[in-house]
Amino acid sequence: YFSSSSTLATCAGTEQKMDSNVFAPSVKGMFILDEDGKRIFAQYWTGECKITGTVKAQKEFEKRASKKTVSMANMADADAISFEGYVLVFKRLGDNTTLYVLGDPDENELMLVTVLTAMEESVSSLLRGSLDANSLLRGLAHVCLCADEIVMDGLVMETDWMLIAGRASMAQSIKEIPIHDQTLQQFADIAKTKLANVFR
Amino acid sequence: MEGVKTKGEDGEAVEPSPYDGIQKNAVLHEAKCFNDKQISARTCSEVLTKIMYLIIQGEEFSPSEISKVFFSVTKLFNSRDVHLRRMVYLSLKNLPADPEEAMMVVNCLAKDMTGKTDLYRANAIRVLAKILHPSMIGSFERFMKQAIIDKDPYVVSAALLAGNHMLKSGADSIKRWSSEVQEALNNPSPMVQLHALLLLFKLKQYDPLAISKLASNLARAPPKGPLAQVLLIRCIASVIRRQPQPDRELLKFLQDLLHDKSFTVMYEAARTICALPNINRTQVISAIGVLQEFLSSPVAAQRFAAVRTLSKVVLRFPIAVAPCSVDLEHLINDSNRNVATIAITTLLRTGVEQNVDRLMKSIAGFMTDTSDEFKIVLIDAIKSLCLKFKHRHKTLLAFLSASLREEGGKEYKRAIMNAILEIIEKIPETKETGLEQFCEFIEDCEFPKLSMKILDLLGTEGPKTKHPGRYIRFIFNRVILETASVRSAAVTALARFGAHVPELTPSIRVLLSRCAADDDDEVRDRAVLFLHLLQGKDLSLAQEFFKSDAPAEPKRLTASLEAFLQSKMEVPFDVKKHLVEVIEEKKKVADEKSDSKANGTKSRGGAVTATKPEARNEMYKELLNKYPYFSTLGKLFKSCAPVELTESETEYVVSCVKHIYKEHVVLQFNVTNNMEDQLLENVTVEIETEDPDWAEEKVIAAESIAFGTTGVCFVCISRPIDDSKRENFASGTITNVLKFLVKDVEDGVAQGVATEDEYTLEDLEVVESDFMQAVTTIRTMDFKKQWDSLSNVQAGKKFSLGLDDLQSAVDAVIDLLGMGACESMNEVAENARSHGVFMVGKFLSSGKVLPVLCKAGFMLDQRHGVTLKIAIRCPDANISKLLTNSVR
Repeated sequence: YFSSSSTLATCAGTEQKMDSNVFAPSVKGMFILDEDGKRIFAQYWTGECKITGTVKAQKEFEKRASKKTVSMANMADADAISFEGYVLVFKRLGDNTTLYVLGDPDENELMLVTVLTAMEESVSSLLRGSLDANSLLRGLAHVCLCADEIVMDGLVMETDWMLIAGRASMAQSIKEIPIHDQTLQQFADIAKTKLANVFR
Repeated sequence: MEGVKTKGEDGEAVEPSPYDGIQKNAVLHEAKCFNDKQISARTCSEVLTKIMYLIIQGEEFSPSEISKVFFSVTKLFNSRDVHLRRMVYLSLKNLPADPEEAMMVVNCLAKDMTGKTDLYRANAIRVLAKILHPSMIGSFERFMKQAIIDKDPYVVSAALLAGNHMLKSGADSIKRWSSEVQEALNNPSPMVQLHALLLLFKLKQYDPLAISKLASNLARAPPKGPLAQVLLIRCIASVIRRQPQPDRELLKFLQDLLHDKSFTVMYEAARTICALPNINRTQVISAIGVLQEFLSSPVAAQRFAAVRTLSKVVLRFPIAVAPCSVDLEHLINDSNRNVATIAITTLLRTGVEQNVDRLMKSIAGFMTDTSDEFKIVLIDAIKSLCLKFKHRHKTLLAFLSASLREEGGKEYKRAIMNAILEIIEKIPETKETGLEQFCEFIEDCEFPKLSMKILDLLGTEGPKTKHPGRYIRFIFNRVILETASVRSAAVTALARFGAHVPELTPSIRVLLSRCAADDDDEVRDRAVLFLHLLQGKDLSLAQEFFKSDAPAEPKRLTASLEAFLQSKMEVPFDVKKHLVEVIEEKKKVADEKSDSKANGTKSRGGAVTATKPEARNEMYKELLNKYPYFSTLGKLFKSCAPVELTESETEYVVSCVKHIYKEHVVLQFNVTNNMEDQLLENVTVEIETEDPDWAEEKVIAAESIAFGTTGVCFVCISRPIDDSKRENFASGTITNVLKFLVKDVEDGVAQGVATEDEYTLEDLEVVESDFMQAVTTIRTMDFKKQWDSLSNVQAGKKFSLGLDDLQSAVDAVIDLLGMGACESMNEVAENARSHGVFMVGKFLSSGKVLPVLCKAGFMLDQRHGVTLKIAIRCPDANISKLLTNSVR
């Protein structure tokens, strides 16, 4: 019980434990805050994460995150910081809103940025580019659905914003369902943004 | 509400939030429309969105409200509207419904699951995963297997992730999906490949052999998507980590991915290679090259990622990171201050000595516009640098003192102060400069606590310097200018000079007599006391006064004095005779409660940041003092580092700290309750020892532990000392079962009758090193002297350790013995082939504390790995033997 071989075995044991936790590219949480750090949307996907305690604790955490990043967040480019033991990537969405993606301290920052971009672009395509606080609140259903399509149980489900936007708006199913104007409009919008992207 | 616009400050119209004035009860009332015969899809969608809004904002729903809403939401399956259906899926997943009730939905889902619409099928599978009872998973097996080999990637991904979700509760059924999951690996969709890979790895996670086979196969035919590749990289890393030497083919695969077209994959490969424990400097160079390119990337997140990874590699391979110096220096001006701070600390650790002076100049600019939090990190890095390059201390100490005089908060100032203190302690020639800097600092210090600490330091260290007289002026200035607490600290400091430097005594007496007229009682009392002590020619009494500690903690002393006053007082008070135990039985309950909370946060913090042993011991001492029982066991010899007895995310998280006393071992169990709906009461741990001589003597229960808090309970074991028998240190294994009464908690109120329950914990081992106290203050010279004085009681042995890295071998042996290395001999030079360590410890044996010395030599051999030769000397030859044998 007290041999060098057993120390190695326990090492391997803890490693294995660690493996199953940090193995998969995963996301701890995602939230959108307004300029005062007030929550517009938030979802946390993990049980052991301390901030998923109470909503009050989560909101305090978000307030602190907002305060820390307020001067850094910009619309051009996602940035990242270490924050209270986590990795936090963030990007300004609209005039008064910032999107955050929270990951384990060992998580790949660039993977988190991929998730952030997927969220931004899919929501943006469904809300036609207006991403200020009021538009996001009015389009809250779309915001929730996009997040739901991007992450399941903290694991990345999809990162292609076209697919995400399509699934969130059930656009693929129009073949079987009678088309009504709104869906068509949405579909046209998606095509438009896609074209715009191609020629950018 | 709509259409109402108010004028904002800048004159622009500001729309109110669309949810202004929203009320839960109103929304619940609106939700009645779900039951309408003619469902209005648009209205219902809006109401569901409002409910989502309330959930996001943390509105509390009672269980009956939830089940009402949940039930009416299922009615909406009658509508054919796709958008409404999507919202229904979302709501079902987010409403925290009762599992039994949730099962009703299975019927509603059945139609969507078997329908032709892929979107419906995928969504239905995802909802199913959330609500399905483990016992039901089996009955959906055929359906799920079919879904995994479906042609629509969304359906496949949903099924695979559903499998992942149910894995915890229904691993046995999910295992039967293996062949389908394997097949899904060939699906053209990159996301499906990721999800299949993920599930496959999880199914095989306890079979290292299967994982390593899978990894080598996949390295030959890797999946396509970047995220799947990230996952594969992590899997390969876990395989390599178990190998003595990285497998060439696997390592090459990782190195090839450094040139992948996806930045995410490139970065993952680079950071993974850098973190491999069994890698050498030449093997990380290409990975560091990639990170170096990222440093000058226009993408902010890439710069952050690179600098963060480099800051970790630099600890292991400082020389390999040195080529990045120029790029790192550019980052000092990065707009992301987090990046700038990490860049600087990394630079400081690349350890190119010639750069130190230049670097300190560029940092000075950085300091002006950075928050204290980052500055503190930096101060710590500068301190380490100073301890590393001892003869550069002039520049570095000058920098620290300059920072001390600049603007800054208390924590920042405290960090600088502690840094200088440590430098003074480790590099004796800096003492005078350091003390002078402190003198200047207290001239203009706004934090009384810091002033007091420095005055105390001046009092102890000042008299030992060459010119003690020069400090008097600074100290006496405090007496004139400061608040009462600082004044009294200054008086004590003055008196110390008076006691230890005879030529100053007369002038100190003059100064003290001026203090004797102070307004403050404490200052006056101290001055009078010290005047009295310094009265005669003989200063030995005064010196003795400063040397001795207080005879007991103040609380206990007060209690003792009070007890004495109540007695007849026939003999004068004598600390040795009249000290009484503080009896706090009544207060204990209250104490325990407040304590369990305080301790909860402490022990958690301790686990994360690995608190320094000294700080930890102080913490435990404080805690143990709260329980009068433990003071009957004598003096605490040692508190061991906490051992986790559960995994970190279980229902109850338990860790154990072993406290070693002369004849007892006290097990302190820290129990954290992670069950939101439970209140634990009367929590104890039932133990069973392998050795019958180890008798359980006392159990102290934790009264109650609410959700999210940590409570402490104790078991005290007596360890008989029988001189005739062989000393009995190792107990073998102790099995532990957590026992408690559990009450259901609803809305924060405990309800119903408590039921008994138990929870099995992992085994605990008590080993020889638990009885060893590390000593790190002995210098090599003294070690050699002591070593020679114990020449006849040596025990020695030679072994081959199954390790092939010197540093980890050294760490393992130090850890195994629990001893402390002399003068940082535990650090192995890079690329060394052999290494020697002197270790010192104090060992508790038969109630006596014996010094133990150990010499360990490590040799690295390509074929055999690390060989260890160890020699241990201790006044008791049996102990030397015992300890030598403990390394096995």
